[in-house]
Amino acid sequence: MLSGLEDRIRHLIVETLNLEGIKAEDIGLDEALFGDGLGLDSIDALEIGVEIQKAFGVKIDTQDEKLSSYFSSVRALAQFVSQGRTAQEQAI
Amino acid sequence: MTMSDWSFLDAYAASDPMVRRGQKILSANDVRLEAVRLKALLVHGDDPVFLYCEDSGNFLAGLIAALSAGRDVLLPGHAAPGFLVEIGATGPLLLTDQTGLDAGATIISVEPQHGVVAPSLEIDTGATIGFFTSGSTGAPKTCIKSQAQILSEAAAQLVLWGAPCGPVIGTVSHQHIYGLLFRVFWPLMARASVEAMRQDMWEDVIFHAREGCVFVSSPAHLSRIPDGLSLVHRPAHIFSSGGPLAFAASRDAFIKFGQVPIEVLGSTETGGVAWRQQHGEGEHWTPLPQVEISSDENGALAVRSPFAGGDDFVVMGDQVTRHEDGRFSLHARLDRIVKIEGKRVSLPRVEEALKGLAAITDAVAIDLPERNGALGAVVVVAPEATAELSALGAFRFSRVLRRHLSARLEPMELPRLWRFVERVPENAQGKRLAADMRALFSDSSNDVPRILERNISEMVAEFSLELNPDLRWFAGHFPEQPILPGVAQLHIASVLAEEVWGFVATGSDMARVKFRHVMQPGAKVLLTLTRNGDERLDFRYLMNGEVAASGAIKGIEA
Repeated sequence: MLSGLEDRIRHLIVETLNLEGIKAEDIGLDEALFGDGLGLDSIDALEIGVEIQKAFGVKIDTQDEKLSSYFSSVRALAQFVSQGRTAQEQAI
Repeated sequence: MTMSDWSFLDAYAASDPMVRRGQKILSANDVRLEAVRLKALLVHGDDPVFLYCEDSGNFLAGLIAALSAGRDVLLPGHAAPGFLVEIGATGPLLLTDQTGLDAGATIISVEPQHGVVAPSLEIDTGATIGFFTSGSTGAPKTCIKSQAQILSEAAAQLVLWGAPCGPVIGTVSHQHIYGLLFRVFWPLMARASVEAMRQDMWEDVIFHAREGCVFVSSPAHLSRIPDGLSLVHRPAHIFSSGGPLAFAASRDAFIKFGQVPIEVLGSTETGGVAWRQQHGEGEHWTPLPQVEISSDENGALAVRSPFAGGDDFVVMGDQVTRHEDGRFSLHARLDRIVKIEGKRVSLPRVEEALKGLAAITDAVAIDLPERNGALGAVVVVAPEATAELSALGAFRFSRVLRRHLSARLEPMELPRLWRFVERVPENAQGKRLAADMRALFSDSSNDVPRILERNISEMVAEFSLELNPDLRWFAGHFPEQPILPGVAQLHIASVLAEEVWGFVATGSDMARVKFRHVMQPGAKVLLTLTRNGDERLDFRYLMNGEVAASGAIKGIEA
């Protein structure tokens, strides 16, 4: 299950940011999305955040101190999304 | 001289030289004889005629003939077959010296004649002269001028710049107002001769230069003067119009030709407005004689002059600051302030920030309606930064640039989409059209034709292509007669080269790109890609066994 989610997130990143020249498969699951890795910046993070909320229905709390760690890699994002979904399901 | 006075034409005696075509001299009588012949063909009918000539002597004969026959004249800016069909320039209504354009066209040819002396023709002063400008949508738009508008400006020009004392050599066409005024009317009003041929290469301009010569050029040419030209005769004047001339280009022209170019600000609608010579960067503009300058509440330049045709101020798209001495500074075009996600963003400001980066030598910022109004950047990377670009790849490199930019720009001003090019695309008048910039960002689906057959080896790849009519390239260019634009031909070659060899295009070698025949929907073409070293790729499109286009693409192996 998890690997399917990771793949969806990779495609979401590529599509949201118009990453021409970079295919979803080119983004390593543990590759750093920011800094020396893929090189995304804070505006990219904002855009990905919006799309993640839309696509997976998870809330992103911009005040959350751990926010940057959720966005550190595709794997971390997938974990964040699946936890967020579980948390929401439990709340219902 | 009154404003619509053509008496300068009668000032030429029959044997006076009126046109120089290389070594050949055409007399006023030669021009008149051809005009008389053509007029007889044109007196019956009142539709406007389309005049397109490569040779300014033929053009002059056609113009005199049409105006004296009382016909309005429209001047197509170029002669792409699809364009001529779209504007209705077909059959005998098309007056041209180009035999290949339309079998039914009225052909103009001024040649030296002996014996017969032609009568002088009387111009019908009510007939108009119209130009085609590219509207904001890309569809051609006409701009109709009275003879008085054009003649009054030419007369003012003669007063301001004096008579030309040598050949007036142009790199621009007389089919546009600037070329028409400077290359045709100015010498005629001074009873000098018109240089028939437009010169595209600086080497040829230099070859034709004589004592007292004048160069009538544009930013496109003046920013590309080759090194090592051996100039024997310095020009007395260099003119530039059609777009802003960068200070560096002005400086370069001064170093190579010994004259600071005189830049003329104007538009087809207004005619000439102001001029300047950049002895220093950002020199102010001086209004031309008879031109009144004002500005509206947005700071937009407004112009009233006999050349602009009336008693009312015409508002132009440029933002200006007027100074007490009557001169003004020119700022951004107002249409270059766009809304990005609801916030006003000045594209020139973004461009300035981009050009301020050491890694960037030239840049255009553009809003992209097709991409939800996102901001795009077309940039030329400095030679010392190309290694970083190829090491990081386009995307990561764009983020490095964005990081640098964030020191100066707000988040909304930071370009989201980036295109790295060898040279910013410009049209024949040296203008950077929004449509051409946006084309660089168009959705990459549906942009490669159907491949019927491919044949690939290590050095050469051949593709039989069918130009399916639903290719997105056919959508914007001339709705009634779509053609495959040059930018598409380059793009298709680049995409296929990347697919075959992992060759990533970084730009094209425009000096070597030649478009010979138009390619239309449904055409079958053979594209041959040939690797030429690691950093270059030659391409050639064959249609019915003839070369339709060819050129070179620069790039890197991925």
